[in-house]
Amino acid sequence: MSRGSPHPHPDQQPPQLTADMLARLKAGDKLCCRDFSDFLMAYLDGELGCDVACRFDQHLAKCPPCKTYVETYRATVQLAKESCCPKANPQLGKMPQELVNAILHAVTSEKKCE
Amino acid sequence: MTRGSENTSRLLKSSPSRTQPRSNPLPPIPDTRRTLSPVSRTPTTPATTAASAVSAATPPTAADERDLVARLQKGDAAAYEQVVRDNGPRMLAVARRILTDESDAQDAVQEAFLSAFRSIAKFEGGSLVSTWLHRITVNACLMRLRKKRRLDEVSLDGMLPGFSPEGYVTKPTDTWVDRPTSMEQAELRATVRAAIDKLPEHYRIVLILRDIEGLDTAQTASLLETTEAAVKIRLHRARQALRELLDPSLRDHPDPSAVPSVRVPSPKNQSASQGATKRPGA
Repeated sequence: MSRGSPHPHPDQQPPQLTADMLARLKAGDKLCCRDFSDFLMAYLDGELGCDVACRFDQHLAKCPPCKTYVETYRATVQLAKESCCPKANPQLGKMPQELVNAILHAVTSEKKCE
Repeated sequence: MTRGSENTSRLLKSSPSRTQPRSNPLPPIPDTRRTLSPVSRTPTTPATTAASAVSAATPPTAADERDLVARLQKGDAAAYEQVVRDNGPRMLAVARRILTDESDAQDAVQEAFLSAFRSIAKFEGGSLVSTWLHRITVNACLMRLRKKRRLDEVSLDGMLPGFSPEGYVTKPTDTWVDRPTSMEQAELRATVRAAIDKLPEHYRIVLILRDIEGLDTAQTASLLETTEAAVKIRLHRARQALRELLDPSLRDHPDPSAVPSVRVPSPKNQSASQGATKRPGA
């Protein structure tokens, strides 16, 4: 297996990807940026074994683009939370009075029919 | 956002899960679209509104919860109104994120409340009422999406990072700008929300459920009727795609060859192009 293998399908199951990547690492291949990118979430969540995680640590220490990628990946997650959080963005949950009335009217009507 | 060097240890944890014991099964969501009450203005009592405002500001105690459930189960109209006013905004925010269409979102919230009140007699108090309502709302939204079965699903192609045949980065990476002023922050958040809306639906939904709503992998997999492994890979791809969409707008040193991928929606803004995929030589 070589680093030149095509980019996996976006939904390819992790176990298959993991086996392929592990096999390449064991065969002596260096960890490439694509592997680092594909398994970044598993790496950050602590789901990779110690040996593999150490290889990721080493790659990160030597690869400025991947280091920047990790920073911006984490920033992306944080931005998504901040941008959609109703507490920080109250306008996202602004509830029209008409909707409140419609809900209460529907509930009341149902109860009267019971 | 950070610039420059940073501790490279694995600091990003999984989204905190708002796990609550699922002792209250989710009630079925009936299709009430043809029977929904027409929107009408019904005056509410000022006292009820004031009570709702107070209860919304402070988290409920266990006694408050028990009292509320008891009142709901007795059919107390004031209790119903309190629940709608306290929880409606958050439920609507969730529905708007999942469904993107305002009319659908409002219908889903109405369905969720009706479904909840119909099954309140079975509520056993194993979770907070707000948590239970949140789950019902998410379920109602997902059911609507399944019924719609969008056939024009946008591909993720072009939204993922590019690599050389040897597996190395080809596109120059750059740090992102520091947090802008408060006015710029509002625009930034609008830009981020617009980018999320550009994601293909089944990646967008996973991102919303996991990173924004805080459901854990198991809960998300259950709601989406898929495997935990599928949820994990979709979440990662969704995050990668979102990063690619945001990169042209946030990078410290704009890439002159990049096409801006996301613009804040305006009345005349019809569509946005995808993230830059040009690959200068490594």
